[in-house]
Amino acid sequence: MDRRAFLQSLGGAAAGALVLTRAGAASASEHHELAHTTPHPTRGPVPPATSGARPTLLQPGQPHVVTPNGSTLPWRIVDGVKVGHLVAAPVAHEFAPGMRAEAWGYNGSTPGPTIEAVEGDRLRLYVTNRLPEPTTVHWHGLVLPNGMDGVAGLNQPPIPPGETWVYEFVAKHPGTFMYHPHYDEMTQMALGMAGMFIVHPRTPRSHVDRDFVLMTHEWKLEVGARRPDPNAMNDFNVLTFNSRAFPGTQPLLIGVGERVRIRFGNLSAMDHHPIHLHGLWFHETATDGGFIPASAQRPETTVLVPVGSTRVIEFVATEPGDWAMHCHMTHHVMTQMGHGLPNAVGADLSRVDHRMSRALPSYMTMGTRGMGGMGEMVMDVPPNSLPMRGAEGPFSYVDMGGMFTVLKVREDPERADPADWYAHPPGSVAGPASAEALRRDGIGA
Amino acid sequence: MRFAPLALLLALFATSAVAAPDDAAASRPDPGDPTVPTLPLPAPTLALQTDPPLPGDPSTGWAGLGDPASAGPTLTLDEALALARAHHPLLAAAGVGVRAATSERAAAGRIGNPSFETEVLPGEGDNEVELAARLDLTDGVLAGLRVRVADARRDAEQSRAQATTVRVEAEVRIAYVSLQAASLRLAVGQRALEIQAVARDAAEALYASGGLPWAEVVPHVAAYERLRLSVAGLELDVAAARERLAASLGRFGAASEVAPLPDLPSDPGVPADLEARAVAASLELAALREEATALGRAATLARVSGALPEVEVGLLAVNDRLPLGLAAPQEPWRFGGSVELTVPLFAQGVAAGRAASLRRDELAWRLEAEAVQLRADARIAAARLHVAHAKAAHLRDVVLPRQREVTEATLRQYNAMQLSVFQLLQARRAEFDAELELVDALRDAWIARVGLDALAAGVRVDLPLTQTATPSAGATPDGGH
Ligand SMILES: [Cu+2]
Repeated sequence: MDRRAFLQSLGGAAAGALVLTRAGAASASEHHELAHTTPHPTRGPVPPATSGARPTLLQPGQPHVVTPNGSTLPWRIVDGVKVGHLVAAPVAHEFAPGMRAEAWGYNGSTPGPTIEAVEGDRLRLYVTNRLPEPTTVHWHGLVLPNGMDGVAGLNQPPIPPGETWVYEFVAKHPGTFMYHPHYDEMTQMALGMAGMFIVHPRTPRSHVDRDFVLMTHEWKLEVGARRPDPNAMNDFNVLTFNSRAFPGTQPLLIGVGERVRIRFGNLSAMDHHPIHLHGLWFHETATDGGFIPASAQRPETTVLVPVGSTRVIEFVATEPGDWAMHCHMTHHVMTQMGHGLPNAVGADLSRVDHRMSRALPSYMTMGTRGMGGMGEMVMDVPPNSLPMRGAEGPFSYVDMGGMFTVLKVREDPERADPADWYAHPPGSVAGPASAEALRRDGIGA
Repeated sequence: MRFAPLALLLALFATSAVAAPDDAAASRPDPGDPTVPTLPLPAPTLALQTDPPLPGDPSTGWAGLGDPASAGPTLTLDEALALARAHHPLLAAAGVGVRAATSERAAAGRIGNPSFETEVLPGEGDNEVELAARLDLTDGVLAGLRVRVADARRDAEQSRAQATTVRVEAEVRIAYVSLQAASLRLAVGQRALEIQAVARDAAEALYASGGLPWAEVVPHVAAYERLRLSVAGLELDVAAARERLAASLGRFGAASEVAPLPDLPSDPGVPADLEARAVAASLELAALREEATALGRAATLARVSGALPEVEVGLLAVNDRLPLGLAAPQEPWRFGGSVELTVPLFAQGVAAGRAASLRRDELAWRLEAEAVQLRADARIAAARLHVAHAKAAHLRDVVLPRQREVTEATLRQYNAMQLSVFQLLQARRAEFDAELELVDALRDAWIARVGLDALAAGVRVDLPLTQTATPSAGATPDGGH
């Protein structure tokens, strides 16, 4: 259905109306009715969640960390030293289906593989530079010998392109850390070079069933362009968890009653991110500076992750369902939102539409009734772009993108299909009020 | 037979007195006469009316290309040329000129008239009468030379008449193309005005809903109002071009619509031997050459007539006693003859002959200067057509498609909510600007074609200067708003 036909099918209505791509022109209320009877999982662009199987344990009470949409750096043990290899190089990256970018990363991905070590490990990290310019690696938050800190010019010369240098140090302190370049970091981090660095304590402080790593980031990718713009300072338009924008973000599958840890890191250029979790509350247990004493932990539902910081939260979910987890800055859940446009909300552009239909037949007025329907409108947009796009959800279109993902809380996570949406018990989904209910409760309609 | 000699002389006289019918001054209307009915003046501009019509609006004055008052049946170029051939006063004048030169040639061939003399001396009862007739024989000899001069002058007149035909037709073609282009420019300008009206309406709607401050609205209103002025200029161009076309047909204009401006042929079609062809065909050079020939022959005439003794022969009839009334003469007539000879001792026609041959030499130099200029003009005309053709093709095949791509790409960015409706409209306006440039280039190419064709037909034509004015007074503020 093209825009014009779409418009006509709605009797000339402009933006804001719903197009339910699955069911054609069914109305929203019909979908509510459907929801009361049969949940209907769909396997659209939202990928299956992380595995519901019990993760392998590093030690009792400490499973290996899981990096949704990512991986963990493999070690080779040489004479008791954990040896790893990071290759800094350009990567072909996908933020979400339909939006790819020429990014930079480590070992073929952005963020780079999560480094997972244990307190007291001696680590030897080789770094090969396959970038077109020099680089270094700074081990953000780790306390180590000064010559291993990776600040180009201050602690070491930069690693020239084509060379492999080596860092070696002992992970003295446990914690949730990060790594990133410290040479031309504005460019290299803007293009995606960053990763998480987890050092587990020899003895777990608290026992958890699952341990996730989510790195927040922000990018400027012009609509229709392919190269993230390192010069951006304010107008970032792609906001990501582990360099993926919803619906490219992989949901997290957990079990009811499980103790879960999520470690957030933020190497965005300019923005802090208040990450909000639905359906539960949590304690903030650690930062990249160390563990927060239990007496100082406040219950929260939103954790602010400042630039250049990590925040660790732990919780036990009690309510099954598909729960949203997202940055609460509203523009951080809008992918490629254009800014600086004239404010059309409430405008009557019918006169304009009439003339425009002659002057520019494929034109369509937008934004006069709000922007909720933008993402799902069938529009001819530039290639390789997801302007204001979200994704099809179980009930209707989820009109968020960017720094948005789903916490899938299941009674039996090991047997749950990671691709399924939550199946709601009958009568537990909001729907249109019946006339009888309105009358009963004295609600004037 | 009293008067027989007299009758003979009178008869001789009469032969030269046959009057030709004077049809050249056939009665024609005098257009300079202020009482000749005049056409209504062109309608005032529509673009500057209180509520200017926009294309496509119901009851718009701009349904067609021009204003409806002058919209008539479409006149094809061939019809226009036929009208000019039939009606143009300059073509009629040229034809009359050739006929005049032909008459002048006939006059030159006539020998000089004989002269008659009568002397009467009254006496008592009788009169003494002497009749004399003289004929200049030399003039008869010179008549042949005069005819040769008039021949050359008539040839020159014919060349000039032919040149007038070519020029008149070229001017019709130029006027026709100019009106085609002006009409198309107006149509493009009207669409641009509609775009600007959309921008104004959108800005005002956003102001009405509280989305934009007036400071960001009024530039769109101002830009629209300014564009109306440009469109009024385009309207004037159409009205003027229409009048010029009517005038080029040589008649009072019931102005007509013209066919749409055609696309260009794939090849400009400049003949490789254009320069040689233009020189060979040049009617201007031919006329000069024939004038020079006439002057050369005039020089010969002057010399011959100066060197030749003037010979005049005469007949004489005398009667000493011719009674009054019609009574028979008392004595018989006596006849005699006379010969008169002017000896060219002093005036030998040398100076006059020299003057004429110097005039011929002067003309020969002018001819050479003309030929130099003509060759240069031929090469310029070829270059002009080549460039105009290439420019139009480039605009048509490269610039305009790219400009349309700009609009399409801008529309996609608008759809993606990255660019505002005003930026989208701006892109569309830029497309129209390119369309105007294309119309200009097409017109220039077709006019260059006319110039080249005229050269090949023997005439240099003054071509109107290239016009590049475009109504791009968009002045839409850039950025998102
Ligand atoms: Cu955020």
